[in-house]
Amino acid sequence: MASPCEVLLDSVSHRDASEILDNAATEALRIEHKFSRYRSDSVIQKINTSGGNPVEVDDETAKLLDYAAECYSISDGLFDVTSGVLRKVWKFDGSDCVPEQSAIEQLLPLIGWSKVAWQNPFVTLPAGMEIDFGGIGKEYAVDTTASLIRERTNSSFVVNYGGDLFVSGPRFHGKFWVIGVDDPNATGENAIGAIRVPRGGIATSGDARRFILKDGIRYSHILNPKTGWPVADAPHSVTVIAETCVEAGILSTLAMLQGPNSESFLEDQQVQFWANR
Amino acid sequence: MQLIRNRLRTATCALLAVAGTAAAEGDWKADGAILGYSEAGRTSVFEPIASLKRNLPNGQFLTGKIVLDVMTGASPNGAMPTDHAQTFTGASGRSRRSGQNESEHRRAPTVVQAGDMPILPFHDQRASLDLDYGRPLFRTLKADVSGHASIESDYVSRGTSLTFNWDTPNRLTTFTLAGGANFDLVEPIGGGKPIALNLNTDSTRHGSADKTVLDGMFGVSRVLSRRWLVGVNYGYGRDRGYLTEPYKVVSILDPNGSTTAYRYENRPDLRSRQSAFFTSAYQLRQDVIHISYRYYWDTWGVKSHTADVKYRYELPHSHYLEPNLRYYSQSAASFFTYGLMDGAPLPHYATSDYRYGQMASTTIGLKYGIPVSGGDFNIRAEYMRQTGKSHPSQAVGVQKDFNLFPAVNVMILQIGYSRNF
Repeated sequence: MASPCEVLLDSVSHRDASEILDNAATEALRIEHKFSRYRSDSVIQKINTSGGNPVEVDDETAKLLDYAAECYSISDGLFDVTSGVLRKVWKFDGSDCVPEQSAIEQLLPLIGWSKVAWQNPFVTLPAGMEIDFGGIGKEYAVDTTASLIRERTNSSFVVNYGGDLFVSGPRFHGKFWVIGVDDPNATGENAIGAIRVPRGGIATSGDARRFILKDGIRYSHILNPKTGWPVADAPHSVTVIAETCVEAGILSTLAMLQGPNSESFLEDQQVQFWANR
Repeated sequence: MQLIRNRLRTATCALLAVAGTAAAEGDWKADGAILGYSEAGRTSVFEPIASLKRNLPNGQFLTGKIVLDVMTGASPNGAMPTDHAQTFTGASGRSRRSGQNESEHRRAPTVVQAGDMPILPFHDQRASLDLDYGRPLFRTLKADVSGHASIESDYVSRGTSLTFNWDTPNRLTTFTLAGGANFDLVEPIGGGKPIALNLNTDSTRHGSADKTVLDGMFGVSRVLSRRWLVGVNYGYGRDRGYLTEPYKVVSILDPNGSTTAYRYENRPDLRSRQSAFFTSAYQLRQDVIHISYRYYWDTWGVKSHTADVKYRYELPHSHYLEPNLRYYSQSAASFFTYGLMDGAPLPHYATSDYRYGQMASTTIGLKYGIPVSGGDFNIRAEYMRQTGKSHPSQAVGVQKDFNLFPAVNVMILQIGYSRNF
């Protein structure tokens, strides 16, 4: 997941905690390996190297593809799991390297969920296109880990994978877990906010370190799949609280894609959020 | 746009195969406590409290609280010790014992030995009810409205208050604005209020009296770091109406300082009060240290300082121990007196109520908490010692031989239980 992962369990015996943590770690690694873009044994790798041929997928992958399709529809194409190819021309390393418009235009035909043929259990990706679950993989891992833990214990817990979280409920003595919102300018050291969370998933989109600065314009690393360009005037980061981590993740991503309207978009959705500009 | 959230929620449910929203936990919170307060040789109070809070959808909540007070014992009536025995009829205040009729009540005099601080017995009960409703108005603005009513044998109080809390967008700072009004009605035992500064042998009574108390507060609290939260607030209040204690007296002294008579006390019918308050909570590894300081001043000349420090010491298995130390000091009201000279012109206002004299108190306490399923159980004990000017420079003649402010030793014990369900 490329981030520190932790599980907090309230009032659970040491032995039970050990067992639960082992299960959580196993599940997180399982998901990472299965949906990694890099591993040769991952489902994603299999799909992305299929050269235009249909690939049969299992139940879990099918559900994720269904979800990707639904989010594509709900967001009018702004959430698109085929947009990962853009990383070939966009390097968000704080430099001022903005790719040529022609380079972007060469990739645009390889982007678009509508070009994917998905008929459970077969998915067919045109040659040159790629699927990337990076936008929901970590949040999905948080929620499935949470379900697993819930089967093993009634105690209150928090699953925190690199800042994407799920809070199961109030702690043993009735008080809520307190979650700090990291200050991207002093990450790990300062909080820019702190909230008491009764229950729910929390996800953050955006990262102050990954951006391009050119001619005084700051380009965030959230790319609009329709234009191939980063969204202008997006907040540095958006954190959303929803019922599940996956839902929070989609909402925070969609919010960022609204650029200057991020906040009003989230207010319309009536969710608790922070936008850090 | 709302359509997005619903569709998204449905899609997410299908992905995670969750069986819809789980039944909400933590919608109710019940708190109960019993407090025992006892001043050695003086007043004792027994106070059970129960409150119930219900969380409603969209961040709304409703709280109801009932408090009962049973007060017995004796308290000073304002008369000072003198060089001969003193006799008082009636009570220093408060109700008859149940079962006693009016004349029986008046027949029981209290005799105070020479040199002793006169304290008169009393017995009273009070019941109060508070209702509180709060809700968010916008994402960062919360409003809270409350109503209060309480009743004692000779006193009825009704009040209401409104509070607004506004968080800044990063939620690190909260501004609070609050206002409240209370309307009190006093119906002194014995038929009404006495004529101020008349001799206490005068039995003329005026009937009931009322009092209006208005309060406003503005505060700011801020999260300074992961470990540190501070707050400041400023309060302003105005009391208008009958602010005098109808049963308390002031000693009348002869040239030797010996008491010859008593007059009913009198306080102004208007008082403005202000306070400035600072609080800080700092978290060390697990433990938290709280400090606070309050400065108070009013138009009666009373100025006071209160400094408080608490250390919450987290023990294994979520038990905790919280020692606490508090220091309080106040200056006397401008019309506080140890006695009026017989024959001298009467002042407009005079009181000998020790609570308006110069005094200081130190409190040391310890609280112990144990988590229980869904809540916690706690027990708190405190010892407070109140001292004042035992031999003030204003003492006249023989008064100098007596202790005009005997120290008061107070023990407090409270047991509480709170639970979410």
